[in-house]
Amino acid sequence: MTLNLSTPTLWVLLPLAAALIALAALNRRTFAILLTSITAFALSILARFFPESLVIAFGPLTVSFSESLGFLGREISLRYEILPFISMIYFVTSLWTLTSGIGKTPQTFPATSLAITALVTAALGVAPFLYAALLIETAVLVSIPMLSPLGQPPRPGVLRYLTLQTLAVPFILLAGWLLSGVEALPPESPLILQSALILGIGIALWLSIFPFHSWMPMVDEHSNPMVTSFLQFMIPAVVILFSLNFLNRYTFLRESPGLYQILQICGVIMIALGGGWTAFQKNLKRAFGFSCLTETGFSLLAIGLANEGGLIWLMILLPARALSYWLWGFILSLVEQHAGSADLEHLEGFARRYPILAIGLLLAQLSVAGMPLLAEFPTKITLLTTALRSGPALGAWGLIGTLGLFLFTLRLLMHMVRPETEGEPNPWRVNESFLEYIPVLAMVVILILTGLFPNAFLTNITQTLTAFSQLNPFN
Amino acid sequence: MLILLPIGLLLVAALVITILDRVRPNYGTAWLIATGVSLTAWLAIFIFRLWLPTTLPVLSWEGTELNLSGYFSLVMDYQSWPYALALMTITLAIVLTGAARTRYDSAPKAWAASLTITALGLVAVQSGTSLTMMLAWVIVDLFELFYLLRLADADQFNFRIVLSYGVRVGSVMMLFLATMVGWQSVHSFNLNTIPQSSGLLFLLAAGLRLGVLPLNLPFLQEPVLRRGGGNILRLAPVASSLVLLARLPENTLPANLGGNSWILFALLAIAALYAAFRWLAAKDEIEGRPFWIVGWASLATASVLNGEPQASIAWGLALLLPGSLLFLYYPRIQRMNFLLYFGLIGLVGWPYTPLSSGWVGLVGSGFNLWTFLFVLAQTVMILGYLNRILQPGGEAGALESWARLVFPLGLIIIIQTTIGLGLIGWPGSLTLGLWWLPLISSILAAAAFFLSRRLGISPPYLQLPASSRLTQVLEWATPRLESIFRLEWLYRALWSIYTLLGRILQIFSQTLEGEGGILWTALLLLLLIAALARGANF
Repeated sequence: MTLNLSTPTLWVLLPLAAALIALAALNRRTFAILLTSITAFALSILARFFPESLVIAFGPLTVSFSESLGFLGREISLRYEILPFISMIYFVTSLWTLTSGIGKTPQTFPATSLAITALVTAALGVAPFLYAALLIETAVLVSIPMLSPLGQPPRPGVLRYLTLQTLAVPFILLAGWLLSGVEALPPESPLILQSALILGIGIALWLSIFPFHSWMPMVDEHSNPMVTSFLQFMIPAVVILFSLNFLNRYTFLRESPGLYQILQICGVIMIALGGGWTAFQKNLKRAFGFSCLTETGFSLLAIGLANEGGLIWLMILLPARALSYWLWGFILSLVEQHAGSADLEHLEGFARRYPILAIGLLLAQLSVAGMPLLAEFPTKITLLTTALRSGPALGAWGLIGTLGLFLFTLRLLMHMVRPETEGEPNPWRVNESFLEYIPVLAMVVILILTGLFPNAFLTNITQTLTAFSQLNPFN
Repeated sequence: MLILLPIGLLLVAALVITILDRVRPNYGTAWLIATGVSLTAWLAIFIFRLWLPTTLPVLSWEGTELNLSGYFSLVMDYQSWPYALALMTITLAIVLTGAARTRYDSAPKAWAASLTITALGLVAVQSGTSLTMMLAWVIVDLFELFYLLRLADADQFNFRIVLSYGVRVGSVMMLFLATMVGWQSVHSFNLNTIPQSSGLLFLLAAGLRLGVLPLNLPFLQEPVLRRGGGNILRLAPVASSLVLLARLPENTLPANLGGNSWILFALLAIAALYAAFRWLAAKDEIEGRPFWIVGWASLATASVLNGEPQASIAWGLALLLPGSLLFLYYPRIQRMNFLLYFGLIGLVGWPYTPLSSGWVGLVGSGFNLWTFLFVLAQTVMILGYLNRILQPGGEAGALESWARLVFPLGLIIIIQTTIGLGLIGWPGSLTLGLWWLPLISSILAAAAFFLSRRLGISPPYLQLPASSRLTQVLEWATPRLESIFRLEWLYRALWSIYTLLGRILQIFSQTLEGEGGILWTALLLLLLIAALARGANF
């Protein structure tokens, strides 16, 4: 017996349905968490081991998958080549949803995060690909209730987030419309520069590139860290992959040395500014927001170094970043729950009361900073070395930017180890519950293993690049 | 694989001791395990001398589709072997002498920590590539950070511990930068082929960690650990930095530094002299330990600047072994005081003693002002050591009978290793050396010693009478000079810049996040577009 399905049914419609069910069962939190995390994890495993023939046999039952699904006159096509990336985003979604029962994580988070992942997955395969802009915008809109709970006035940061992300859509659509006619134009046509500029602004808005970043610390400061860490990983990751479509499709963009130069400069500006701002923050959540800017900077730098192999490093940075963000977000939620605030001045003696959380927080930050031994180090040292080769200023500023998070970590440490009451015995005591410290310890081990054996843990994701025939570094 | 044997043994023993201590605490069993394993590891390293050099590739990130750079390896060669043996000797001595310090800081937990630190220190010392070294440094630093924080209660010490960790992170970042720069010239070099272009950065990484370039002393008071575990905790990171010095190229200073190399020499001379005089004036050896480290490390670093990195080994070993002899000699027992005199064998630098091969590092291309200052620093360091020797001890009766036997054994093993390394440590270790320099140094030391007696500075403490005019002058001048020599003014200036930068970024951020943020964003965008459109050609 043969059953015909499509890959979009599996990785878009099915999780959307699961998300709807979880949303309907809002009051049964455990059920919602289990449903969404199991669905996400199963989809991740399926994507990881999906056969290239797109046929799966269960005894007498043969399920044959097509790569496309028609939807409202458009087509969503999830090709085999993109599955490693889909596997990664569903895996990290399962991680976030599974641990969303802690702290004050919004009840809608498991359902919403799964829905967002399904929407951005659809965005990766929709044709014409400009419709991805609408799907990403939908994902942004879906995220709003998590950031600004019903019944509460929206905070300025959320409004700005919505404004800037929405503003990106007309830019992207306009750029798409302009680009469709650009290929036939002579290279000296001013329309080429104009369309590239509009596209650049659209993507910059989406990625919150300086000076469009101001919403990030504002939103982070007042929202749940599990939510913000998820969003600040997921949306930029998908937008970056979506942006590669433009490079892949338009020769004039791909072959423009100026574009790569601009990306490198923008990347390093982001790293330096993000690092600089992080170093001086007085609030852990705001520091996280600024660190995300640094990470976006590294992504841009990697694309800018595409001719030197940067796209591979871009891809392998993503899972390492996801793991670090998850750990950071998870611990931040617990810090806020236990300390009542994420302000540094409220964290005096925190490490003495919650040593495992403190160690985890330290290592999460250091992993993002690119500390040796931890997950992002192998990629960052290679990336910065290549940047240094490309231009000494790029390498130097890149390194200076990474110092920002190190400095912040030291400041945080000073606050966390300071005894609450000077002169009185303030012994170290493990107050974390089993469910709090086991995920932290497990993730620390994973971060270390990833940092030591990147070839074993990160290779699979690079296969995603085979979906971009013109950019594929393996050709 | 034999390289891993001592490391593995030490780690397993540390684990077993920790578990035993929790499940069935037994001091004797734990001590026997620690001693047995330390002795086996010591013998293994000693025997390894027959197979030098040996390289063990551990892991490589290269040659895969990820296109990453770097690989990890361990190397036992003539640079790392003396330090590995010294480190292991100190650990063995800690355990042996620990039998006499059961009332103080010697306990199974401290031994387990000592064995772990030594194992990590051995990895660092035997690092074959900068990535391996970076990794080892990070692990040692994190271990030290958590270990010290767990023990410290006072806020003052917490601050110092974190500050010290910050300096260590700085040295790791410097190593990071040095590796990046090195990879520009030679793809994936090992530490024996450090490119000249990155030599200075490697030197700064080691110098920062040693506290000599620039001078930095986060710990002026020992927070908690003093002897035993505290000793290895202080010395293991030092050993891993010293071995890096020994591996630097002979032409570490870049040619374009030209006539500016004096700045580095001046910084080192300041560090060496300041540390030497503070060591001399220290109340006891533990208070003086940070200065002891900086004093000798400055001389080792000077050897590299003079183009003689191999000579740094002799100075490095002077820091580690005779230093440990003094630091582990506790409780002091009058009848055993003579053992400390043997430590001088490793410090005076007479011909055919372990330090004789080090003098060439202070002279370089010729005797100059810096050589004189470094010799002066060495002389003062010896005077300080003599000062410590002359302090009286107590009675052996305070010790248990078995401790009376193993305590001196722990000290003797240090002396034996010092002599042994002078004989067979590395090619050229047994040498006549520049015999006239130790002669000058010894004459200066002897003259100073006898002059001090003439001046009425009474032994054993070599301290001036409180009523003397010189004491009053020194009391007035010392804090003022100290703030200059310790470069606190420089760090304060850097802190001010940091704060100023923070304020500027804060104002910038507040403006963008404020009510008019969107308008500012639009304005900045226009400026950026204009700048980028002008700078790049599509």
